[in-house]
Amino acid sequence: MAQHLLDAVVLGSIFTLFALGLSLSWGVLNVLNLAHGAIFLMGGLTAYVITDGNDLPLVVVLPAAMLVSGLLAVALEVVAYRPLRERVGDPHKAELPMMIASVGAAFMFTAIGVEITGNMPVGVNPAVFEVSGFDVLGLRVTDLEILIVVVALVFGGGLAWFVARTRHGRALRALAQDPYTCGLLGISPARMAFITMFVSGAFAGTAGVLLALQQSAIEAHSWEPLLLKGFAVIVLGGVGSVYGTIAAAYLLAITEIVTVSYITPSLRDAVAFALILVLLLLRPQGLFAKTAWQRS
Amino acid sequence: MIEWFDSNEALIQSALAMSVLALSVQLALHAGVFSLAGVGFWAIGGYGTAKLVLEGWSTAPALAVMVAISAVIALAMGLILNRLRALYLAMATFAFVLIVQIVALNWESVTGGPVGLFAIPVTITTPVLVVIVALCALGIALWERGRSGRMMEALREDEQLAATVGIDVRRRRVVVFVVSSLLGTVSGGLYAMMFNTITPDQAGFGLITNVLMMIVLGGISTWWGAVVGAFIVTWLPEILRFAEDYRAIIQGAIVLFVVVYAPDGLVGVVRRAGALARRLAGRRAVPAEVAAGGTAE
Repeated sequence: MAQHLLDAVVLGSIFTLFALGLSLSWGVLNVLNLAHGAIFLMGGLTAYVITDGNDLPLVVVLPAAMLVSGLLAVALEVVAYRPLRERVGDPHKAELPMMIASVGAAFMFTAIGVEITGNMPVGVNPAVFEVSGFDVLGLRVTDLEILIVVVALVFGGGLAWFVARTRHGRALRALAQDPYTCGLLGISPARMAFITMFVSGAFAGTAGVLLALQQSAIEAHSWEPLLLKGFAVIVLGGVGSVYGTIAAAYLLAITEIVTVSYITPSLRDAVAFALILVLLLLRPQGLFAKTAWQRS
Repeated sequence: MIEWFDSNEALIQSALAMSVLALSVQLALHAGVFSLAGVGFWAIGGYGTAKLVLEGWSTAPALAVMVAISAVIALAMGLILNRLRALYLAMATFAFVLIVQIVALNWESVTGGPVGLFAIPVTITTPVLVVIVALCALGIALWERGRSGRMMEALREDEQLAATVGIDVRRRRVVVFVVSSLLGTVSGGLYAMMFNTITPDQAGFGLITNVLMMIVLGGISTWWGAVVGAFIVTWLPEILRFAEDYRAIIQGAIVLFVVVYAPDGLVGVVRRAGALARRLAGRRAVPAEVAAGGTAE
């Protein structure tokens, strides 16, 4: 039981990193970034490509992967999302074309992933991070698992602090409320959108590297179920709530591990969908949010 | 012509079957319902019809039964999902598509697991297919024009406004959702019947991309854009043959750039060309009137 709980915490940490980025781009920019999973893939693949044949430590590999994923997300903003918002005018009318553009991007990145991996599972050079396990109170723990949990909590806490306490964070919240007024107040929506997309992509890239190390394999289509989990987390936590997203990520992970361990493994991905439907039916504003203004 | 038809028959059949799915999504988006559920129902229709035919049913009743079953599922889903708007609906239906694919992968006794269903007897001929597709397209074309078409546009542009002029927004949205889903079922059923196999990897994210590619390339604003798009996307692998391994990458990039820089797809290009032609014709007409002594406005 305790071992299952540990697994859930590790899984929940990956969900946290992944879903925070997804929630951020949606909450601030109204982008349902379906390419988020593919950007996650690109993070993992960056780690694979740069360590192929040379031993780099994680302190080099992780920032490199974050940079690549972050820049890819920014590229999408520059090439697609911003031109669309500017052309369409009404931010809500731009949602659909932005989503379709992100599907195109996801398709493109996945195809690049297939090209890099040769459509086979590939592994990151294990020299990046020497995994060693030890026993704590009768539980089997690896240092990689501890690292994953710590990174997720530091990044999640850091984002919460950034959004709630800093000037830029305040600008970000203002942008989420009303981009037009933001412009009047001297906040550059374009620059804030850059920051948002970069952070969103970098978080996905981090999740990509850590999961690639944890599972010791990357496969070009492996992000698809994760995107489903990301949706479930956002719906559970409520869009735009950092703490809600973190809590929801661990809640989903626990539900999933319980289902896999005590009911049947084949229902693993169905749990997320069931949660989405039940929640949308009973509490569409998410478990932790107070209002549902965004949904109506 | 006939030679070309013979050598491309499989592509034509595929484009025809897929154009019904493109219509499904086009209809939903046209009415402002961001539903991708049609893609999930494509898999339900494909697997269901194939399974029934493999059990010895004949095609027409098998397809009819699947349409009926889908109608019940779609109605239930439509009523539940009706409270969702915009991206939330897109996300929920996207999740639905992925779940259908997961069920197809795991429910081996019925769906054959990763291998899918194969050796399905091919029972539909191309003329029958043409007739069914034409009927679907005609139905959508009629629905999207005139009074009902304007209602749909009102629904898309401003729901509150639509409600104040007496349109039953809730009911219309559910109806659109259900019809869109059923078109998906029909498309999947036709596809499985034409190509004698159906596998889980045909559904899922790849199919969503394909369908969105169709309506984006053809043009999202009219039903015929969807049909034209289905043909373009079906031929795209042939057209992009020179790109070899980079084909899929280019395909994704095309979608991205068309959405951003040519928002109405081919329909938009044709319309703009038409407007340009009329303007040119008009310019020539004016001097003629002046020459005849008429007063130009």
